[in-house]
Amino acid sequence: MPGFDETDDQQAAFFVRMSQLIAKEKLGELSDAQREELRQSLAGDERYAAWKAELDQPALIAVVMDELSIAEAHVESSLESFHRLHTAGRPVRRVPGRQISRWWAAAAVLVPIVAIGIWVAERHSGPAVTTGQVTSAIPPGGSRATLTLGNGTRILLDTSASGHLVQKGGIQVQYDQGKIGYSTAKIADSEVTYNTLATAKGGQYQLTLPDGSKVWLNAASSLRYPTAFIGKERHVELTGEAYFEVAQHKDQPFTVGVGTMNVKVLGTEFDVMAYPEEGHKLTTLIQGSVKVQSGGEAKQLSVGQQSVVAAGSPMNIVTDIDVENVVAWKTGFFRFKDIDLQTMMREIARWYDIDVQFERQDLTLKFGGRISRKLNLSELISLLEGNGVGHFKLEGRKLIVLP
Amino acid sequence: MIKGIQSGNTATFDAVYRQMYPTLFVLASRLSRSPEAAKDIVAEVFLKLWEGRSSLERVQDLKAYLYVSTRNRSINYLRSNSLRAAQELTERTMSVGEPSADDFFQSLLHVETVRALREAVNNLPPECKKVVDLVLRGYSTNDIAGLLGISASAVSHQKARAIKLLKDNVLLLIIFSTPAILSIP
Repeated sequence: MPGFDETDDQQAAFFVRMSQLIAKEKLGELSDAQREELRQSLAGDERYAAWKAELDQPALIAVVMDELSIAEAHVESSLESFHRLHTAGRPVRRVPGRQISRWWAAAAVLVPIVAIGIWVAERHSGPAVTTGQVTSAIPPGGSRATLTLGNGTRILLDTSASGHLVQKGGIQVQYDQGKIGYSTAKIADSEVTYNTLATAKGGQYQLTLPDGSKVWLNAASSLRYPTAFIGKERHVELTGEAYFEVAQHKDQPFTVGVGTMNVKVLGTEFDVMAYPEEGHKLTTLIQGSVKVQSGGEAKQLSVGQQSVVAAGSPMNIVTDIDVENVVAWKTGFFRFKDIDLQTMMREIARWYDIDVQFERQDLTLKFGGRISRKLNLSELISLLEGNGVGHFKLEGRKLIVLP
Repeated sequence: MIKGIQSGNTATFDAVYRQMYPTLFVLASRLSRSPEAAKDIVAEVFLKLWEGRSSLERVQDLKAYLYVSTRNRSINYLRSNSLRAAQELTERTMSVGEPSADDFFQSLLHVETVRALREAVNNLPPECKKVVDLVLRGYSTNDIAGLLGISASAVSHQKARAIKLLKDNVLLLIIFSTPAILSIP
């Protein structure tokens, strides 16, 4: 048989067997003999052990589950067309009791939306609208950014870009696979220059600052920072959204400026979201402590709190924030909780680099759920449609929310 | 089950198709980096299985055979695609690296493990199923309680029930003795 390779087949059979043992292990049903088989089989090769260890990350399992549930949604239609084209027959009905409900397959990804349940009734009472045909594949965003140096030079950083450069004062910069890092060096005032790392819509990037602090920059955002922190303060300027893990340097506080708002920290983890189109600036504290200053006001946040700064109103502190929701973007997910469709679509637009237009009038419903940021736009749309969130039509890079 | 397909039994073929389509599709989209191409790749894999059914006696493990076949076809797709790209756009052709053997086996291990997990979960009673699905996705008991609008103790109860059902082997027998599911009367 062409393309048939016995060795490949045997090796693939080995991994099929390992997969089934690992699944059994996770489900708590592995006999001692099987446990030993699994241990011995994987012990021979470090790579195999590493691949198995990856399956201990729920985030990886969730991503594969989402990929599979999308594929499951077109099993029946593809099987039908297979028979129509090749056997002139029809698919044999599924065996009762082993059906994988298509509804469930899609709902698994968006269970929380179902749980909130507001829209469920709406789905059945709403008018039947023909689903927009989505043909062009718009991929999700990825690791892409532009680095602008002090002298105005711009460097395009994409997923595959890797390199090394030396700036004034001997500052070393290294970038590779979505991450960029600066060396720490003691340099003179006159040698400090400012760099800006910027992402467009559909981009995301990770940065290690000269003091060792880590910053995850979300789409359509920018961060301006010096190539060395030499003054009394470590100060950076943000637009858009970023997640910070600030290295502790007691005598040199870290501050993030967002327009007229300032977030002052010692050593801590927090998220700042300040997209102009959102109309407010949110600072969420994950760990440590920060002080948010805006206008004449200054407020200290404790863990799990979020400050809301909006023009024309006093600073508001929200407690008991679902921190997972705020930082989901950093772990590869959209995670929505009780938000309106417009807010949801703005976040989607920033990641897929699309524009969203609303033809739908009724926007009172609230949604919740978690979706992988690795899906193509068309896959995301079919999930949203499958869960009754709405109907959509894609025209080029414009997504229309139909009435 | 190989015998079933060899003898032209479409019920067996359909069962294999339904069981394996999602994983093969995911593997093909990862290796070919194109979900659009993946549909065609998987269709070819099953067509080859159906048309070559009389010479299946050399195949020992049907799943392994399908995974390898999907890998080969994904690589063929990338090769013909880069050839076409090279002809059309001689100046700005980007060489797209072919997936390595490691890429293939690592994806196989991940995808097949999660498939087996989902299969187990899908056989649980509905309330149990929702809870276990969220557990596998890394949600805590309290998160799940909040998401499903039930109490934390109800979540723990469903978890315990799932563990018992899975332990009782009733479900695992169906799930892991693959040939039994696929040899449908």
